Amino acid sequence: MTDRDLIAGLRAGELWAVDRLYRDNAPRVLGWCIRLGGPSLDPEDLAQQVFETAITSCGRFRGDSSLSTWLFGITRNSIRNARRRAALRRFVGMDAIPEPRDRGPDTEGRAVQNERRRAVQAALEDLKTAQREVLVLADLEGRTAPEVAAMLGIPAGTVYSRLHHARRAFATALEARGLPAGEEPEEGTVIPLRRAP
Amino acid sequence: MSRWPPHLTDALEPRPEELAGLMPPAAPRWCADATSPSDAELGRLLAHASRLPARRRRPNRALAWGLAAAVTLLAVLHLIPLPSDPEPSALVDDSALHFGPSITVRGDGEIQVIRTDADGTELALLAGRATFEVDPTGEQRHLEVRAGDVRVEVTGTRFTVALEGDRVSVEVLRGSVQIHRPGDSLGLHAGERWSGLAQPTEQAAATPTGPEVREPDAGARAPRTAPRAPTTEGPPPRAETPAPSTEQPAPAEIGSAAPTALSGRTAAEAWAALLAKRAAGAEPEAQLAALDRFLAEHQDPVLETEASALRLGLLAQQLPGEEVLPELDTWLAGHPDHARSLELELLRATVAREQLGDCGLALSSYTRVAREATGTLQATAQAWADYCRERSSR
Repeated sequence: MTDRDLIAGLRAGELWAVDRLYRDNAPRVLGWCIRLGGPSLDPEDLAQQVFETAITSCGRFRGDSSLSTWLFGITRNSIRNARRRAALRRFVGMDAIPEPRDRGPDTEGRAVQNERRRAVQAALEDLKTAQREVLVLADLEGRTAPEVAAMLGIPAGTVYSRLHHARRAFATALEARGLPAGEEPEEGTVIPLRRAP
Repeated sequence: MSRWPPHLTDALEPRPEELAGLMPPAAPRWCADATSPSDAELGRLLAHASRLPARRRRPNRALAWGLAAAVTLLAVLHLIPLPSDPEPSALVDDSALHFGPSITVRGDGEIQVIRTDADGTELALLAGRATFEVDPTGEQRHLEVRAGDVRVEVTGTRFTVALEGDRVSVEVLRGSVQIHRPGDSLGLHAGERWSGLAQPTEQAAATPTGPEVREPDAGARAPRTAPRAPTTEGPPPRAETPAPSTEQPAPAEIGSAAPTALSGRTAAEAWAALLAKRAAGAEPEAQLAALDRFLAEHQDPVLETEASALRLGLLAQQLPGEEVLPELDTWLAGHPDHARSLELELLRATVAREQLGDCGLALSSYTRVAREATGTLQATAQAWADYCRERSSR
């Protein structure tokens, strides 16, 4: 099935198309929301919002980019808006907003996973948005520079240069948190997850 | 976009292997793993697919949020233009008051002279509107205009101050001014307007004493009513060398008009003023009074809920636990998903534990917060839940 078939199904209001859109894209959309949304936004709510926007605005999909690229554009906008709203809430004094709910069972292993995720999210937050996007797409998701360039609408050369700076900044951010910035630690290695002061 | 053909630009792009030597190592794999969605998260997201109607039309929340954000932001910055403000040119008339060699006042306001001497001029606008022009190159150009508890400080510019009821608005036509309020200060530049409430204060019209008090003419007040039409007043008295006066200026009347507080303001403006008061560290009683007034005057559903939450937070500091707890329970029952609900749930637990000494009552709230919140809130609740559990089991 092509992207066009799927979009045609969505436009016709077919439930199978909605189901297919979710199943094919949920991992990557949720991954974007986790990595680009930062620790203070609820990634599941964001991802759900992305899919709702995609379904309601599928009529605007022109087909001149891949469905994945189109969804990434919606995700970027949703994250930008959510960040703006969060910033406004902080600005107008609605401070101490609870962080996103952790809906899983409360186990020790889960707590460690959550802590590690938040640490990586916090390190990503230290990067500029443009750097964060390139780093996430290229290094954390393993996309090629031309793919990243197409998704972000920038030349491939810009991807390389941003990636260069992003990697340095990310390594610095990880080190500032006492996290290993190099190769993957061996199983059983204890990673100090202290937060930056 | 490059104007070169693609084969030329591509040829000049660095190749990955060339860049590899320049770049530090890529992000470690464990970072990708740590931020990958878990099966549980994916499962929950996919569960939405079956519940979501295809092409469901949703209200444009983004637009609503955007508008609300814009209004709130403007209100907070106090830069909402006043619709009733006339054009600056309408304020200029044929008559003028002069204070020293550099200061000219025009308009239809009622002005009280507080001080005018070599160090500067202090005036109070008691009512109406006046345009103050200060020659930036002249001598004795320091001017301070008071309207209620708002002070506008300037050394060379042209600006308008209006006092209508308890609302003060300032518009800068040239240069810049500094506006002072109790606990707050902001700069205003040419083309900008500011509007806010003036609180009655006995210091507004000041009562400077001693021989330094000088007045430009015999009357402490210079009433300037309705001069828009060709005025029948004579040329305004000049006060370049005002005679020293040991008389006290006429008592201030700024504070005598009962302020109507938040009346006439939009909910966003009133909310911004309320937050400013809160940020300025106002006493809890004053904050509580302001919140009650806000709730009585505005029916904005979002801000109303937020105000009621803040009110409960303040009430908990003032009233005994037996009285606060039912109010907290009512609020929590009515707003289970509100952003403040976890904070208020924690407050409920604290009231139950500290004021009522009922750890059993507190435990249910601590447990909920520990389950649903994360971060500091969650950690705090978890610790107290453990404590209460242990106390209850004894």
